[in-house]
Amino acid sequence: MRRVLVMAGALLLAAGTAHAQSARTPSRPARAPSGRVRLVVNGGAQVAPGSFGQQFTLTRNVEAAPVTTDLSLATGGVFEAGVRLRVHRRLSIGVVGFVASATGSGTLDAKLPHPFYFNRPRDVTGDLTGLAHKERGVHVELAVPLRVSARDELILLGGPSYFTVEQALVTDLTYADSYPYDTATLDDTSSAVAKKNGAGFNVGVELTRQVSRSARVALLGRYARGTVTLSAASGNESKVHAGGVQVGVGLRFAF
Amino acid sequence: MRARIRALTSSIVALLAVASTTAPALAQPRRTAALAAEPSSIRAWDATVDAMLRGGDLEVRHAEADTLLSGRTHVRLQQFHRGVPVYGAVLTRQTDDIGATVSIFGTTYSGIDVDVRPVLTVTDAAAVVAARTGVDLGPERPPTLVVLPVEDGFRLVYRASAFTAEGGTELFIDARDGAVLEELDAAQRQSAVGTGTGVLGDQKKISVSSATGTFTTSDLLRPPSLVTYDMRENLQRTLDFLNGRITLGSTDRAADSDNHWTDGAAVDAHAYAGYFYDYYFKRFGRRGIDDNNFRMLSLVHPVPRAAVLSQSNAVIGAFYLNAFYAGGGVMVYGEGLPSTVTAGGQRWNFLSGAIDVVAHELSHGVTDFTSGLLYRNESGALNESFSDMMGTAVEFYYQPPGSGSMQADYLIGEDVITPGGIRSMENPAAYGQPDHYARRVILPLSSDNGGVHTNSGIPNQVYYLAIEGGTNRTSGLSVQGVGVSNREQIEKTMYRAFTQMMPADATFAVARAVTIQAATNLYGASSAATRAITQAWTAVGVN
Repeated sequence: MRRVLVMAGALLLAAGTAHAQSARTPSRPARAPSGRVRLVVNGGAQVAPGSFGQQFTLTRNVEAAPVTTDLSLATGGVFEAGVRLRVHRRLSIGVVGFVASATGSGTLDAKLPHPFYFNRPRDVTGDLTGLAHKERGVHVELAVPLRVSARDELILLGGPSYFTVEQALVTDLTYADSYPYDTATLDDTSSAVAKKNGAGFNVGVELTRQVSRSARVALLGRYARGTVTLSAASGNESKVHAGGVQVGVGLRFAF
Repeated sequence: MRARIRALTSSIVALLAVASTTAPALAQPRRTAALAAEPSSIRAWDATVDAMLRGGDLEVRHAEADTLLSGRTHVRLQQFHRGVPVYGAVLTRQTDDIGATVSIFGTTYSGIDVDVRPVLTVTDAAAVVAARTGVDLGPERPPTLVVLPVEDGFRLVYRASAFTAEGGTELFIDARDGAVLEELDAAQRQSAVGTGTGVLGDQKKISVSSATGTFTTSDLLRPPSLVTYDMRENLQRTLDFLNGRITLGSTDRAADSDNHWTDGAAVDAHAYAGYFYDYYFKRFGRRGIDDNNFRMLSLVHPVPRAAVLSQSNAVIGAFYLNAFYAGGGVMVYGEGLPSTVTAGGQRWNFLSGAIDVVAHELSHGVTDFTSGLLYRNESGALNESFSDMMGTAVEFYYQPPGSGSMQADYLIGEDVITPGGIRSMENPAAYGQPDHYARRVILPLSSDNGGVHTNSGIPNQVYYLAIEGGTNRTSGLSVQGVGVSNREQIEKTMYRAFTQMMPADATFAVARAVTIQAATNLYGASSAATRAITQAWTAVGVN
């Protein structure tokens, strides 16, 4: 994440420098690249679209032990690379592959059956950290550029998205208790990575500035959304949202 | 992914472990793990081992040739501190055919500053073992001195193993003051929770142990040794055990292959013994029969139920229609009668199927270790009554109030002796017991030890009236009870009076004074409990 921001700053600095150089050297403005193909590279941050949770049941002391988790994803990094092809006048179609990662955290609540008596569960709560979340996939973009100035353009983006989501989900727990076993404390949890493909959509806007004949820098904002139902084990499913609000910077190379 | 504190602790421990392997220090007591398999670490540890051997801090305990790798030899070295072995401090050194060290693994301790002169003698330590386990160690297995690493340093202790019918125990006894620092199960067993069907067809959990694919009725989750033995209808074996002629082992425990138990008598005896322990612990903070986790052994199926008609009246009375506390933490539960046979117009199921019966018998054990109420005449009736009080208290603790099966009431044994049970605390006269001192029976000791099971109706009525209130049928005097929501007050009053204040030869009059004093101490002279106890004794004619 920090690396992405540093990179973004460097790009903007480079853009500013290029602009200053061009101001010192009077010349005609650079023309927009005439190529039909534009390579796209973006890096940024992604804010996950909301919390998710699990509800599953373990068996402890010959009784059902319901477990509930409430998880959310921290802001993570996202990297995109792809290509756009101008297909009609200003209209382009692009395909951008992306990878994103984040870390999930939250809380766990469980009702652990008593070893001696039926229907006397012990409430157990604990914090969960370090649940890895990864997304891969492609955004298919329909891009419509709006010219803002000779050097700047605003591009509206949108289209379907295809996600592969990997999420570490809690599958088991251990706890500590002692006689008379009326209370228990969470000791440890174990998790498994569940993986699922799904579809969604993306919409976005990017502001680009030409910095050389064939290169532009870009500021990008995108909202992507997809939902998959992950299964860590039989009866242990979780509906997880993919995507989120993305903010990043990038480079565009025209051919 | 770990709970945070756990993770932090684990990390610190791991770091310390790493540090201890790389930089052993001598100034502070610390454990050093040897994991030497590389030339550099082998050289360092070789030097250390040789120095310790020269200094007498290590001794060769065992050496043997490697049967799988020709030429290799394994030497096991024990660390000593001034001639006393350090518990767990053992190194193994592997050498090749020319005597060069190949590996060294194990643990040593440094910074040991324990005085190895014990205050206790071996005999003293054996006495601690006997008090703790009931085992008199023979000359072949005396307690031995070891230096025991503990959290804050080291202790000079006696180490001893004692084996009883219910398993083995390893004790570490402080050689200065006789305190038991550690007590370990010498047998390798695992706890397990199973489900069982009780005598009345109810489902309950039972805490058992598992080993080699078989589950047996040894509760490893509660602090005391809590074991249920299936006597397999062998009366002679039962008698031999009760008379100390044989011991019972793990094969005598009730057993099940899938941990879904169907022998109701064993299930209930085992589960209810645990319930009894839990009740005393939660209500009174008491740890079992002797308040020191004394063993609780239950014997079921002492006789063949189907053969009842061929048995003598004495055997029927003792092992079919009876349950009894045999001393030493041993309970025997009668087999009841076949479903086609009745006694006194009542059907008798397995006696262990009634929670009040189980708690009654075990409470005799509590009396044994506390007041020691003499089992004769009025003190004997008080002894019986206290067991009825606690049996009923346990019943109300675990079952909802009501009049049906497995519902709490003031009848004794009503779940397995149907209809009606064998006594009523609410109306003793309905079962031939006196409910008033004026109606007490005076019998010779040869008759029920002076009527201990008859006159117990009088203090039983006190218990009932003190909780529920009402009118004594004989005196017509009314009592304002504390109410069912405050029954705990009367339970605690009776427990305190009977276990801590009651003399062994108490009469009913003494019991009145003691229980009133107990209530006064607990709740005040003008409290509802004190008033209820006082009124109840007056109502039954004990002043």
